[in-house]
Amino acid sequence: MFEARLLRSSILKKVLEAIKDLLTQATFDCDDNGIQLQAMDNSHVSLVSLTLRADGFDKYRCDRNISMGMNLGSMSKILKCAGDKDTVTMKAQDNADTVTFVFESPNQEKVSDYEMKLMNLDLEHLGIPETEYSCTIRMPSAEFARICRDLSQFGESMVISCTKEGVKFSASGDIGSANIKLAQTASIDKEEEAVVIEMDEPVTLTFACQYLNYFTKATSLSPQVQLSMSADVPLVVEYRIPDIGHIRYYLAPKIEEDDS
Amino acid sequence: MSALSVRAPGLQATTMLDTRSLRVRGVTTLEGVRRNLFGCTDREENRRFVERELARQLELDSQRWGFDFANEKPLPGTQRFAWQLVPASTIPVALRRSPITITTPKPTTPAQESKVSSPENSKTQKRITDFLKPRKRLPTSGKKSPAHKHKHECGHGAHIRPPKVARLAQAHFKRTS
Repeated sequence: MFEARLLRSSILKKVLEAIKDLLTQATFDCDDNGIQLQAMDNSHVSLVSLTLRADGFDKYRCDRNISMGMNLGSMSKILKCAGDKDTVTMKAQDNADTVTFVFESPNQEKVSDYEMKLMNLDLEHLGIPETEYSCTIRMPSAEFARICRDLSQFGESMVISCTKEGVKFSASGDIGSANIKLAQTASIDKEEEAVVIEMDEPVTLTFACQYLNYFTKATSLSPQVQLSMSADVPLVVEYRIPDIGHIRYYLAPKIEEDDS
Repeated sequence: MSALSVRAPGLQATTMLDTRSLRVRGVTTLEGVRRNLFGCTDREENRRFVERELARQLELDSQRWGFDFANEKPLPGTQRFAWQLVPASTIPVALRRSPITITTPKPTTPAQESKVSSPENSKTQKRITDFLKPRKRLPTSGKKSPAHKHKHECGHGAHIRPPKVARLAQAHFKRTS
């Protein structure tokens, strides 16, 4: 059987909030290392990769590898029934076609359980090679969310340009144009508020604001976000989930037609 | 007795037209009411719209399958699928059909649009599947839920042999030493 228990249900609640608008359904692949999820959005422009390590759970048991196909809208509705301070336990029998969520209040006086039907999803996984990226930008996640939200008012696309001067986010459209430049933080008081840029080669790429605004729904999971870019390859937007794993979003760039 | 209530501009009051009074006036048949509720349709514009959409969908399908459906030959260059021509005699009669003829409308330059051209118009959104290829899924016990079978279209068939991991390091991904 499979059983995973988290003392802080807020983590799982936030994870669902971070993916349910982008993905309608996805498979949770569970083995003794933890839970993995990989799914593309319906347009196949972006990919979500979620890892929750077994050691990040307060209790984790996975006798046999199982893959649970779930409707994320339904799962999100169930998780909304949990209080932020509740403990959540996710469990499934080896060949069952349902998964059960149990929420316990901190004083354990209230216990709720929800059973959800699983789906048989026949989805292929994409291979994500280990890649050295030309540019890596670490910055406060709230700052990045703000930038994406603000610039999307000016255009459908955002240009991210990383040079030795720093990183510049730009958008243009009918209203006009907008540019936001960030330089590397000189002195780092609080690491979480710092902007750290590692650049091997300058990179400039264009991405659809709409998807970036979906990715930034994961902001509440981590104070920092890491952007990784190389020329003509998908952008990686990574949010580390403290003590348990990460969620990575991959976004295909917009490229000049004659270059493709 | 069927009755019609008619209110028309110029009439001070509602006029009741019943079949008897109409007969008296010499109206023997009631024609159906035809109203132009949503404005006249521009049939020419509709036809152009449909042709544009069909041409666009044909282009999308061509890109997706690597095949020029209008001219019935594979697109040049390496494609996702290997296309093999087979003689029509090997195909059951019911499945044969004549080639598609599409009259692709010439792109009309909209002279009345004074849109500020922004650089983003010339870029096409790539898909993540252009960069990342399927890999063999780790064998799992799998959840079989007969009541909820759902097949998700990933844009390619279920029988693609996934490439080995080493080959995933394609030209797109530059390795900085």
